[in-house]
Amino acid sequence: MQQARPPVHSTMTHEIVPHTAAALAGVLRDATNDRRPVTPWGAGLHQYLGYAAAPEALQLSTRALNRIIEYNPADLTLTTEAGITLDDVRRTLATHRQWLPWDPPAPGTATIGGLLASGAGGPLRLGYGSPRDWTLGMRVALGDGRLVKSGGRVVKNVAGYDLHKLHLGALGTLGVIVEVTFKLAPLPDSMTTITVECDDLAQACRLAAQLRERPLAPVSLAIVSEPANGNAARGSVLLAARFAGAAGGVARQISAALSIAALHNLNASTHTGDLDTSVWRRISTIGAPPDHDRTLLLRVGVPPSALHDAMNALQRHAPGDSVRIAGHAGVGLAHAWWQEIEAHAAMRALDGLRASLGNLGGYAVVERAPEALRAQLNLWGPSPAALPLMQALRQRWDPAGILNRGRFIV
Amino acid sequence: MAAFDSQHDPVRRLTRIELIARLSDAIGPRAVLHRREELLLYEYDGSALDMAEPDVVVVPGSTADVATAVRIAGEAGWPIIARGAGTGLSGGSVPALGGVVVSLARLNRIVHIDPENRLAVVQPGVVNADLSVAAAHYGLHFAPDPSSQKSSTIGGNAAENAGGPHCLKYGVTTNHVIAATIVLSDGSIVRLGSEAPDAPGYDLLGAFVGSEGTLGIVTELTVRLTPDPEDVRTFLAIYDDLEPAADSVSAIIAAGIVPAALEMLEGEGIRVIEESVHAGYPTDAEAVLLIEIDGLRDDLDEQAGRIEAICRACGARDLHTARDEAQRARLWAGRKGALAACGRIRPHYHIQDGVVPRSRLTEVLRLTKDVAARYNLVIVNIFHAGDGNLHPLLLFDLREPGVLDRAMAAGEEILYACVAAGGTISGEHGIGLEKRDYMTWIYDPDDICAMLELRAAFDPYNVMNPCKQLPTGASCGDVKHARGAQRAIAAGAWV
Repeated sequence: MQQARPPVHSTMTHEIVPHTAAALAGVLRDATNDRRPVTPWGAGLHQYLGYAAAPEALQLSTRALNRIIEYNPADLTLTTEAGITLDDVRRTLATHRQWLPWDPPAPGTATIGGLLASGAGGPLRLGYGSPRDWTLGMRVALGDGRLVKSGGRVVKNVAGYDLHKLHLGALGTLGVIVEVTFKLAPLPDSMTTITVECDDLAQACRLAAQLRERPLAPVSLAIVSEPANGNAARGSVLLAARFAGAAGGVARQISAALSIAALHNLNASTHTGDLDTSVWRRISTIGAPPDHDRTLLLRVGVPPSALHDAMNALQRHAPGDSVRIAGHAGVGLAHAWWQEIEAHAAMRALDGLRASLGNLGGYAVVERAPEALRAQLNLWGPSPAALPLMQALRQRWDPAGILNRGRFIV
Repeated sequence: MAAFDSQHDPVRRLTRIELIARLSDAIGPRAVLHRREELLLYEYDGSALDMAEPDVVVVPGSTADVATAVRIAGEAGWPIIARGAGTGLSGGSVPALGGVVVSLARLNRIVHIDPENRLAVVQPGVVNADLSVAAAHYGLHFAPDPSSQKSSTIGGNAAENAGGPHCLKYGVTTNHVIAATIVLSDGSIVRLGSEAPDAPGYDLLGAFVGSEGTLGIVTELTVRLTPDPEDVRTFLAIYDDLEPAADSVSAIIAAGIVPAALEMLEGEGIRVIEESVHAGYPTDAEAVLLIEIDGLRDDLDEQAGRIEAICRACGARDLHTARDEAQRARLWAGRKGALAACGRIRPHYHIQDGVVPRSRLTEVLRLTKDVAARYNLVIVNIFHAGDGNLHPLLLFDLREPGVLDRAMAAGEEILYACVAAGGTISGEHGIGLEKRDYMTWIYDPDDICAMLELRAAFDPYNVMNPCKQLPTGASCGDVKHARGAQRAIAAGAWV
């Protein structure tokens, strides 16, 4: 354990940067006593999520908690502080040909803790599951300043409740993640992507279903719908399928996938190496907001078989005609950008979208709204049935309600 | 720390007779068992170590009846204990303080199988293996495969977060449950999780799976189904010594190979399994590894070659590949029938369940040999080596005075060594009654307090499966006194 150094205070933003987990917990304990709201802060990349933070909130940064604590390549496990970036973790793991099969946007700047708290995922979810499946344990500073752990550092563990799962996607409202243990995977020998230009969404969805039939098992399968622009008379629909594993199996799957595309008389291209990576980096950008403030970024979840209907609904209810959508087949998640909108149209559109998705067993979350709309929209949608349980838990762990007060659904 | 001391047992507001009458009125007398001979079956689970008699057993036929029975018992302050097939190995379904056992045996329907979304909706009493049989038609199966899978139920698997040999590659039960309907102690019915991924809110389902019946009772589950692999290879690697077998396991994982399953059997266990199951294990081997890889046909040859090279380099005497499905099934029958077969060595057993980092297997296995010698016990290791999940099976004959205390002490020493090596006190059997007091080996009071707070959020009445999983409750210390009523080794127990 490092000696506790006095935290750095920045007068500009009420920013505090503790150098140890204990110091971070101490800040929360004091804030709870003072009932002062706190905004947990990794790299700050996902601060657009939810409603605006209270102006007097302390910005509690994990950026000085950025050490890898224990990496056991022979056990395929890693324990790290939460303020480290995903790319820094990846670089360490790559030296032993291992990885965390998780590809959210902005890995170069985003911190592990921030990514987990904001529920960030990526296209690899289809083949490898979500971080929930790779997280073995955590240390978390609860809202009242208690530093608690759950899970362990071994790959199998049923001792006690899996409290760590509660912090995934909780936007830091139960506690601040300070340390995480992951299970790791060997890097696949080969990764190759095919992209297919489709005539329309319906065709892309049919093709996606065929590309999941045995023995095909893509690790990512995205359908990207782009609006018409100055150069193209009509919008485009692109299907991308990525295969990973030993070279022989990948080659056979690629060739089978190309044959399926050919049966539909569609042109397919194959991408390997850096080109493979850049296809997915491009698709991931739709999961993050653009750099201007005129777009509504939506996340939609439905049972996987309803993805086509959900993507249709995203187009149909869009208040303007400029819609970008990346849907993840087999997973049931989609991100969409709705452009150029004003408040009333947005509210109406969102109500319509939620009504359609409700019929499909799905939901829509507004991940980012233009600043002028943020307070007016129902960002998270209807309350979940288990909300009273969630509130009862939060009341115990964050009794003064200081963590991201007023920003989340709970 | 406060919650440790403030936990108290609720006051019982109905007499047993009144409780039985209320339950019978509400869900029908046929669903309420209360005669002594009817209750006997519900006193113990697969561990057969801790026993306690329930006051009444209800066998509801619907979610609504579960909710009604739970509401009546909960409001009256009686303990409520969910029970699936009773195959648990840590006392999870033993009614430690008496109370109402809620048997989910009648909720045994597969509601539907959805091949397009690769999921199934099942009632909690569906037997694990039956779901895979039903899904086989679609080329799908339910991946968690505890050795008890021909008897244990999916509700019980979820409560215990059950594992199994193939969880090495496919994950344990928690990775395969995506939604559940649960009944809380006030009788309310709540839906956790969703077929739509990542719905906003806390992942309460993630905390619920593995909660050993302490948060609520599950009455319906939506579970993931996994596509059957295109091809499978199964090998038996044979060793004259324990250590090279353990070294092989560590070396396979360190080489970045994650097989579908990687199991070890050793010592006298191999001989008795062969005698009783005729699995094809060489009876003169000191250790064998049962290794399975699956996936695309194209990739298996290369992977098989690498595994064989590693095993031989570590000192394997020989390596046999199953020629066909029948031979593969026999190799697995040996593994899954191991516990029953070991009854031939000694009539009674105590199974431990600890986890170590996979790089530390050799030293912890060596320690089990040393413990066996020091405590004068037979210890056979049959376990999920690829996960580092040890199952030392301590065998003894209760007619020998003092042997039980010796076995328990030996088990405890092994478990402590697992923790000291950076591991944990249970990989899949659960904490239940058996390991509650060991929780402080791995968790601080604050950690346990946070868990108790989760429990209090779900169960403010403090009636759901009391005395289990977490050290709490003034009267729970008495339960250990019930020990000593061990039964002869059950032919139907699995590890």
